[in-house]
Amino acid sequence: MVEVYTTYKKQLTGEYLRAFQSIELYAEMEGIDFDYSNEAFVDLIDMLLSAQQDGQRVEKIVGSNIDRFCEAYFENYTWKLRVLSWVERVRDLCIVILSFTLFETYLAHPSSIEAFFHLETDISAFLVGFFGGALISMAVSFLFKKAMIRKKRFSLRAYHTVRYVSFFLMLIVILIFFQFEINLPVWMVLLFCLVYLLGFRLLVKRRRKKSKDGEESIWQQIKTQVKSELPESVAMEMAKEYERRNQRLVKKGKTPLSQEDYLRKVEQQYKRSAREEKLGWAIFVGIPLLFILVAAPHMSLEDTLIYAASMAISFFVVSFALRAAFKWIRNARQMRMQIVMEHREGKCNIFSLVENQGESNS
Amino acid sequence: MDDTQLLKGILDGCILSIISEGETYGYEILSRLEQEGFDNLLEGTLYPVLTRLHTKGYLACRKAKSPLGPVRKYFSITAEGEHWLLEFKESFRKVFGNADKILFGNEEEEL
Repeated sequence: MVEVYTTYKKQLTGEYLRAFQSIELYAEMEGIDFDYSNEAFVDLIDMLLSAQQDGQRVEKIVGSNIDRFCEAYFENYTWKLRVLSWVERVRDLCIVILSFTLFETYLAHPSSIEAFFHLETDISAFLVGFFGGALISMAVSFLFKKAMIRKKRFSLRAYHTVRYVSFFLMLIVILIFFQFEINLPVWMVLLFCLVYLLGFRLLVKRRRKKSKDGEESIWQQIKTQVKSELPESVAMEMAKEYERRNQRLVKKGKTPLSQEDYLRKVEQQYKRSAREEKLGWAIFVGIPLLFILVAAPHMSLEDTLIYAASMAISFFVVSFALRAAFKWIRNARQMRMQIVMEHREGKCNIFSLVENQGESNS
Repeated sequence: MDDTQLLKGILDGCILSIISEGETYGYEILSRLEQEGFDNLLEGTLYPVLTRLHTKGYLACRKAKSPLGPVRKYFSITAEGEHWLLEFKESFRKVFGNADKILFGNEEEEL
């Protein structure tokens, strides 16, 4: 189950809360990734709550020197993990920039390869401004951190305020850069993003990987938690859907569906899934191919290649979304099918769920 | 005198030895170490040690909801951990036995 430490932080009081806030501020100022710090904080809060309950002094957990405690507690968060965290953030940014630039290229419809190499991206000012603004934002946060350490006055609220202010500074810098006509070639932006993403895929090990005990990263846990809560809600949804369908049929003067008919419809829908998915992909790939085959005899080779390349790139980008959509539909239908099977085995009764809810509401 | 450096060398073994007695969790380990006289020397080292031992495969970790709310990690020793602990105890006996002779051998002779 996903545990976010802030849920339990509220239970800490007095010196325990103050100690924890100091450690929290240390993690923020050191730029420790949330994925890492959340797990560390959940463990720490458990120990602090136990000490609080036993009436022990907070020094039992954090010792007499909070700075030394923090350095030791996060000693496993090495510079490698820090760099990896930044590399992953740039990777995410590359995906966004790549998608935007590809879409931009497709809309521009360059008429020749030479024209493609002369295309300039509209987000040039954003790219230059963003990196410039990000550097200014980091510098402001770094200087404030130094000042806090020198004056020995630490406040999480003040640090957050400075972070927000530096974020707005970053936005202002981006807007300023929009006043200048900075033009980056599209091919350069695309090349950079593709090389970075390929390099990331080949060279960087996944930091979020399963351990020997099958521990999952926080994002895996979120997916698992959502999946485990689904069956009950899906069964309830199926029961309500059955009621709604029958109410509509009755209003139209038609015979309502029996429970067996409804279950059979869900089974048929599941069996159709694979066929529908293949048809969807065939249409998605087939229509552009058909267009190229029909139009190619009427275009020059160069134009045909450009259209084919731009369609291939668009296909590549849109296919991610389409694959996710098909997967979501497949999983939803699979879950419904599983619930139908369990209903038939007598492990649950879908149609009683709505009745039970009606009783509990009254 | 700062005992931290001395403690760092043997902490892994001490913690693993406590865990080998039975499945336990962070606060319990801390309390046990305090009972044995290792209070205020740890200062945050327990968590990285547990993480390190777990990464090396000497500890197995089971997560369960604690009575106080947060998910708690319960640690138990693995076969690999048992093997390492045996070796550690042998090395410790040998090294500290020799050191004991050097440091306190002359005093005993005088007595």
